[in-house]
Formats: sequence, C-alpha cells, structure tokens
Amino acid sequence: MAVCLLLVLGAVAPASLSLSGGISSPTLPAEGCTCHGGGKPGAVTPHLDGVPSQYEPSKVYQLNISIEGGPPIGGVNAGGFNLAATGGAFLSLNETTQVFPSGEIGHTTAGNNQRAWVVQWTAPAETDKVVDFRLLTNAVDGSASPDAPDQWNRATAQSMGPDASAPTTSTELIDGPTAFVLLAMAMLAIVVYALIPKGWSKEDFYQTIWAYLTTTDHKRVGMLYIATGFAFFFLGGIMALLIRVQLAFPENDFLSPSQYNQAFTMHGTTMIFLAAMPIIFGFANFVVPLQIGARDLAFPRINALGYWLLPAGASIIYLGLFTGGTGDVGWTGYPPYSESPTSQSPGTQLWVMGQVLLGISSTLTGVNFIATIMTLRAPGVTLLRVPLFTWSILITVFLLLLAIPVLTIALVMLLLDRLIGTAFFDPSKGGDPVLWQHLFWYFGHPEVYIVIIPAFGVVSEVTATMARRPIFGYRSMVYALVGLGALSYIVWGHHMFTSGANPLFRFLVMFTTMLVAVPTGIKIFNWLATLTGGALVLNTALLFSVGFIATFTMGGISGMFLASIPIDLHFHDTYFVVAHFHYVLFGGTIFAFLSAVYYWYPKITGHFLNERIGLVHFLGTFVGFNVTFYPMHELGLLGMPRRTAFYVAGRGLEFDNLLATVGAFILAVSSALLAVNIVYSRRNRVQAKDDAWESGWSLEWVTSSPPPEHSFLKIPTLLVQSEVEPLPEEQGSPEANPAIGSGLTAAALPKRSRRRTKGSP
Amino acid sequence: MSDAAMATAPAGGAHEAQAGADLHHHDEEHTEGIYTIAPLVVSLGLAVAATSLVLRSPLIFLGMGIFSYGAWLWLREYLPTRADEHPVVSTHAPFAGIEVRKVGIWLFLMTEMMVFSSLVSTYVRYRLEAGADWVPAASHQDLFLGSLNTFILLSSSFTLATALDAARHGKQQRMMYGLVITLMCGVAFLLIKAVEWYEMIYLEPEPFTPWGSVEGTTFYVTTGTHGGHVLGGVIVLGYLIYKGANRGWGPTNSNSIEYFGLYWHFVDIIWALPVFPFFYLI
Ligand code: HEM
Ligand SMILES: [Cu+2]
Repeated sequence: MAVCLLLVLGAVAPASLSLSGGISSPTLPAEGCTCHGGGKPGAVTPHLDGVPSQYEPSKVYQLNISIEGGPPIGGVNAGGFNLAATGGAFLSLNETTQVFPSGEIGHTTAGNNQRAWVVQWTAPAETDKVVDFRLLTNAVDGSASPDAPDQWNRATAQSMGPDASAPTTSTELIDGPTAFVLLAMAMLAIVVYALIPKGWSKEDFYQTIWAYLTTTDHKRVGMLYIATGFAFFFLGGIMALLIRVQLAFPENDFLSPSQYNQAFTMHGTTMIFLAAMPIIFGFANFVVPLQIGARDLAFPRINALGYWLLPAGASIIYLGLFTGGTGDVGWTGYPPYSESPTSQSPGTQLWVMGQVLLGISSTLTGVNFIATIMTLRAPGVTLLRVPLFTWSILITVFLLLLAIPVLTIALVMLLLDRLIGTAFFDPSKGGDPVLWQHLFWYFGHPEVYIVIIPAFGVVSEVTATMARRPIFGYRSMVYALVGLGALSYIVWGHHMFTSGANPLFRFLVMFTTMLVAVPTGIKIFNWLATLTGGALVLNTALLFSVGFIATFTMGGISGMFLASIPIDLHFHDTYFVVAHFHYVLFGGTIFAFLSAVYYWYPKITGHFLNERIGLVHFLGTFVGFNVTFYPMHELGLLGMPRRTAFYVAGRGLEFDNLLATVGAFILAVSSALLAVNIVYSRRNRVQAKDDAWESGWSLEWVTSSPPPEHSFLKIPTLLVQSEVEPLPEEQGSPEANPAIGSGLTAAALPKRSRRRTKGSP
Repeated sequence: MSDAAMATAPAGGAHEAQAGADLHHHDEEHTEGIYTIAPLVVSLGLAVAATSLVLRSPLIFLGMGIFSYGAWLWLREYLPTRADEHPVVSTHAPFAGIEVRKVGIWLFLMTEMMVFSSLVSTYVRYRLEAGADWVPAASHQDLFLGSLNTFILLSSSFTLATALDAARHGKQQRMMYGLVITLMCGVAFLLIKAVEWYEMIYLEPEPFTPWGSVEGTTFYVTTGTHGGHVLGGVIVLGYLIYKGANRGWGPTNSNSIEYFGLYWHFVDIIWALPVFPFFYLI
C-alpha cells in the first residue's frame, strides 16, 4: 500500500524530477567549463532543437541550442553549454563554439556572452545506431557575485538510425535488463499465488491481510519482517545478476556505466538494510520472546511501527527508479562524490532519505529488544541461562543502539549539504569529506557485526540441537559475543587505511582489528567441539550451519589479510575486498539464516520443509557461492578494482569473471529452490511436534508448533538440570525420523545428552 | 509451579529459579491481542512527508496530515490502556523492580546521546582542524539571549520536578501550574531562539548563515537539533497537560510525568553542558 501511494506520488510530484544530473563534465577543459561551482540546479530550461528522431546516415543536421530562463544578464559571462553525443560528429560553425578533443562541443570564451548557439552534427554512417545526446547548460548573471549563483540544468535527446532496434530509455535502470526484472517479478508473483491456501474466499483473504496490517503480535510482525527481507533478498539478487552479466565479458555493454553504478549501489543497500537486517529482526521477533518465555515484546505497538517504517524507507529508496535514476554513490556514499554537482539526481537524495527512515526504525527496534530481554524474562531465565540466539540478539541490539543513530545523523548532514548547501562535507566551505568516512565507518563496522552476530547465535542453536548435546563452552560463547561487540567499536579505521589517517591511529586500528580473531576463533572452536562427538542428525539446517562455519572461517582469514596495513594498501578497493565481505556476509549471515529458516520453520508453521529439496538447495547454494566468490580473491590479486563497469581484455581477468557469473546463476537457481520447497512442503505437509527436532534446548520448543496466539498458554519456568528429576533411563534412541534428518541419525544416542524434562505447556 | 512448563537450561548453574505467581503480572496483560492501524498510518505519513521534502513538493502537507492523524489514532487507542495504573515491572536483575517503560526511556536517551555526540565531535574536529582561523559563533551572537535561554531551560526542569512532586502528593492545581509553566518555558526558549537566528541570518551586516561556512553549519545544525528536541518536548507537554486537565494525574499514576521528565532533563543537560558553552561561550 505504501508502495502504491509512493508510486503515484512519484508520478505526480512535479518539476524537480526533470533536473536529473548536473552541468559539469569531467572531460571539459577550463575555458569550456560551464560549472562555476556553488550553484544549484535551478530554474533554467535547456532546449536542443533539430535532433531528428530518425537520422539519415551521414546527413548533416543543424542543431539549435538555447537556454530559457536564468538570471538577468549583467556581464560578459551569460551562459555556456556542453553537448555530447554517443555517435556521429559535431562541427563548429563559428567562433562562439568549439569541438573538444573528446568529441564534445561547447562554447568558447567568445561565445560566453550569449544563451543560444547553432552547431552542426553529422549523423553516423551506420544505419543501426541509437545516438544519445546529452546537453548541459549553465546560465550566469556575469557579476561573479555569490548571491547570484549559477543556474544549470541538463537535457537529453535521442536519434535512431533507420535500422536501429527498439529505443532504450537511457539513464533508468530498466531497458535491456527490463525483461530480466519483469521475468523475475512474474516468478515472485507465481510463488505468492501458489502460497494462497486453496478454498479461500475473498473474505478470508481480506481478513488475513487486515490482520497483518494491524497486528502488533511479535510472531506476525516477525513473519512480516522475514517475508519482506526475503522479497528484498530476491530483488537484491536480481541486481547482483545484472552486475554479473555486465562483468561476464570484457568491455560488455549490457549496462551503461550509470546503470551499473545504480545497480551496485542498490544491491549493497538492499542486501544490508532491506534483506539481511529484516530477516534477522524477523527471526528475532519470532524467536526471542519465545526463548525467554515472554508473551510479546516490551512495546508491541512500537515494534509494529518499527516494521512499517521498513517498507516506507524502502519505497523511498526505490522511488529513484521513477525520477531518472536511483542512488548511484555506492552503499558507503562517500563525499565528495555523493555531493559533487555530478550527483545531484533526486535519486541519491531519496536514497539518503529512505535510509534515515530505516535508521529510525532500527533505533526503535533496538530499544524494544533490549528492554524486552532485560526485563521480561520468565522465571528461571537468568542472564546466563538465556539461549545463545537471544544473547546474540542482545549484543546486536546494543550495537544497533549505539551505531545506528550515528549513521542517521550523518545521513541527515549529507542531506542538508545536498538540500540547503550546508558545509559539513564540502571542502570549499571548510568541511571535510574524511569526516563522513569516520562517521560512516563508526557505524559501518558495528553494522557488519550487527549482521553477523545473530548468525553466530543461529549456528550455536542449530549445532547444539542437531548434535543432541548442549553447546560446548556456553559461558565462553557469551563472553566472546560480548568481546566482539566491544571490539567492533574500536576498529572502524581499518576501512580507512588509504584515507591518509594518522599513522598511530592506523597502527592501533590494525592491532585491535587483529584482536577480533580471538573471540571469533573461540566461537569457531566451540562449534566444532559441539559437533565432535555429538550424535549428529544430518539435515539441511545442520548442513547450512556447517557450511557457515567453513565459509565464514575463510572470510575471517581474508579479513586478517585486509587488517594488515601493508597488504590492505594494495587490496583496498579491489575485488579481494569484495570476496572478503561476501564470504562473511553471504557465506556467513545468509548461510546461517537459511539454516534458521529450516530450523525454525516447523515452529513457525507447524510443518517441516522437505529435506530432499533442502539437500539440493544446500548443495547448489554452497557450490554456487564458492564458484561465484572464490575467483574474486584472484581477481583482486590481479588488481581488478571494484565498482567499475568495465575491464579490458588481455589482462587475465576474463576467465575468473566468467566463472563468477556462472556461479551467480547457479546461486540464483538454487535460491529459487527455497521457494519451491516452501510451496511443496505446504502441499505435502509433514506435521511437526512441539519439540520438532526432538532435542531442542530452549523454551520455544515447549510451546506448541505453531505457538498459540499469546505464545504460551502459561508462562513457563526454566529449570536447570540439577532441579529436574533426571529421567530414569532414556527410552532407547528415538526411531529414525525421516522428517527431521537424513543420513547420520545416530542409532546409539549418548544417553547423557538427553536429560531433559518438560511438562505440557 | 508444578504445572508450569519446564525445560533445562543450556548451562548447568546454581538454583536460581524462584518463580511465584506474583512475578507474572504481564500474564494478565495483553490477553486481548492488540490490533491497531496507527503504526502503519504514522509510517505512511512519514514516508510521504520525507519524500516530498526531498522532491520539494507541497505534498509534504498531506504527509504531515497523515502523520498527525496516525499519531492521534495512536493516542486515542493508547489513552484508555492505563499503562500508568498497571505498570509492567521487571522481575530480573539488573532492572528488578523498575518499570519497563522507564528502561525504554533510558535506552532511548542512550541513542540520543549518540546523536549529540556525533554532532559535537563533528564540531570539535572542525574546530581543532581550523585552529586560530575559526570564527566562533559566539562572535556573532548576543550572549544575553543565550544566557537567558539557559536560565529559562534550567528553570523549566525545576518546574517540571515540582509538577511531578505535586502529582505524587495529589495536589492537582499545583501540578497543573507546574506543567503549564514548563510548557511556557519551552515555548519561550524556542521564541528566543528564533529571534536569535533571525538576527544572525538577516539583520547582521555580515550574515552568519548555515550554508556559508562550517562555523555556521555546526552552530545551526547542533542548536537546531537541540531546538527540535525542545519542540518535541513541548508537544508531549501539551499532551500531558491535556490528560492532566481531563482525568488528572494522581499519586498512583503519575509515572508518565516522571518518564517525560527524564527526557526533559536530558534535553536540558545537553544544552547546559556541550551546547551552550561550546557555541556561546568559547
Ligand atoms: C575476522 C574478522 C574481520 C576482519 C579482520 C575484517 C577486516 C576487514 C577490513 C580490514 C576491511 C577493509 C578492506 C578495505 O576496504 O580495504 C573489511 C571490509 C569489509 N568487511 Fe570485514 N573483517 C572481518 C569480518 C567481517 C564480517 C564478520 C563482516 C560482515 C558480516 C565483514 C564485512 C565487511 C564489509 C561489508 C567490508 C567492505 C565494506 C566496503 O568497503 O563496502 N567483515 N573487513
Ligand atoms: Cu570493518
């Protein structure tokens, strides 16, 4: 609903939408520069007349350029222009214009006292070209007074040869890729349709929708978060495929550079803020109150508000698609790039604004979860008996609480710089772009821990349950989490080794960053120790967790490389960094939360996901993941920079890039299997018991699957082993149950590991 | 406790479970599920307003309208819940005996700390970088107005504390005076601020603007953010007065005033500690 309204809004919101982009072109020589700095895209309207919609090959056309509006002329510098075309050639007709070596045409000093010019353009000889024109104009009053800033604007036009194929809508993210995106959307629609239960009347449908729109129940809000997160995971995945198709071959032109910039910016922002975090907070919403034995979060209404700000912020971020281009400054949005005249598109503003709303949402969520975990625990659930997933969420929300406000305020500063011209990051007024880097990474590094720590929690739960024994070293796990949380605040400078920081600061950061390996190592060893000697139930949930341990460890090791200053000076901003953070983010967070999906699905829905499809899903994901991202280490070593749309042939980059693209498609196809699995197992239900895995340790397994409306019929009490009558003797090993695991279901379960009692809830 | 569900904790530990029926107040709470459309409406309003702000579209008024409608819905539903009479109290260390809402406010103030720390450290960084070239905002202002504002804000903390005390002792009239004077102080603060800004931006021969230099930018954005917090406080005060006039705050239910007070004192301290000395005195 919010989305629809915003779309309408985007369509009717006027004027400013035409101001896409700025005036200056980096290739312009000084005397042709039409950007005097300091100005704003203003009220002028550029006109470019005489461009034929269909050109005749090699014919000469006369083009009239003029600027409408602008300040009254008060001196010799009245106006200027720069015109570029992707085909054909320009010719200057008189001394008021000149053709630059780049092929662009612009005014001369002699032509600077007017606001209209005439030039010639010779159409290309080929018959099948599509020529894009880009006109930049600037009107000045000539007084050089700061009170009368430049007014500039840009216009585009297109001309096609007689045999050219369908026109392309240049700067938007949709055209050749459109088909791709539409196809994907259609698939999503089919899945959603397949999920609607048979025999539903319209009333059932509306009632359910209304119940979800107005709910404050932590389980429903959690499901909304999870569904939203996976929808954006899908969308971010599409973006990733666009990027990979572009990079599959050297000097490919599937995406224009501008589209490419938009694609990776939206990919990063989507995956971090709209996919990973919502999925995490979805599971946190659903599981945390159950694990601590609470009926709901401390502030259910605020929880709902936190959720609804997510689609609101997301719609704003994506609204850029309809204003001539989304944000295109990378998910890190570094000034001066994010502030320069070349990035004045409203898409970037919307991208900033949307994230401000997401920041508010996360802040509210953070407050809510800490309050809940600290105050609403059921009797017996003392802090050192809280399950590790809940612990991980507690640490995460602490990080969130201290980090997100910093990002939010930094975004507001950026927005103010862009909207009213404040000086925060603008060096011409005494501001400092490096300050943005500090603020951003002061948030940014804790942020990467915000997305990985819950994954640690999930893996701890899954390994313990599937190994049928308590987690090894519970206390050390808790202390390691606390240590990681604390460390994550003093390492942000490792993202800025190449930004010219103080050497002492850099050294300290290098040292603290390397310290991170200690708590991380403790966790990895504890998981391995939990698995070793446990009676493993080999199922998809466990497989994803084991996959997590493997890939995450690799990501941690490449992190250690990057933490070392001499190495990072070479690797910074290369594909090695891309490989690193995908090993920790995809191989870490996403693997763990796919594990969480399989693990808690029976609790959430009351039935299991299919294990056989699950196995294929895991194998495809694991193989696809490594085929995609492993080669990126090599690309990085070869010096391929990240965030560039092209690479040249003959430098040894072709094979690895192609491999990565192939891997990306394997990944895409196997991810789709999750949707297939959900639909399939809904049709072929295998009912789950309350304690679905027959060895769950925490309170969520005490209530029914799915839990009743108020989560617990009666608030449970958590007792430790010594308080429970030990079971006389285990009633043999449970029969092999194909629903909960294939493979290694242990014939002889170690009896010591099954000491637990529960009453019926 | 016998019929309560049990599970074993992951770690063996000392006997600490001492459940009792009285620990379960939140059991009876929320037995009716809460359904409300208000959060959705509030978000929608915010989204429309934020988008229009960026695109400089007049639809911003529509957005603010939707937002206000949502906020009104929220209050209308929330008022009868009497959170004040039936507080949810934490049973566990470290917050044992403390109401959940109070914990929430403390946590919220932590996030506010981070907001102001970011702004102040931005200021400190630029100031140190500029060294002797820095033109302090103080050289543009009327120190009298700034000091007056400090005085007003500090007094308002006092009057609010008086109002709380009066409410706790059931003195309805004194409480209302306290609240109303606090509100008036807040409004006076904002008006003086507006005069001060107006003078600096428009009346000075050499205008001191938010877009001219980092000096201006840090001054206006930091004090502006603080002013925004005062404005928010004034709006909540309006609500407290409204509710006070209707049902009255009594000895048993005046916690809301206390929790609002935490926020108001915080805003006060932020002014008294970093903002006023950094931007007015040095
Ligand atoms: C052993 C622990 C880790 C170490 C030592 C480490 C170290 C680093 C370093 C030094 C960089 C900067 C590279 C550069 O830009 O030149 C970096 C980048 C990055 N790391 Fe890590 N990291 C670790 C774990 C993680 C985890 C757990 C995550 C997320 C789940 C993560 C996500 C990222 C991301 C997203 C970037 C790139 C940011 C960007 O420039 O866009 N890292 N890491
Ligand atoms: Cu980092």
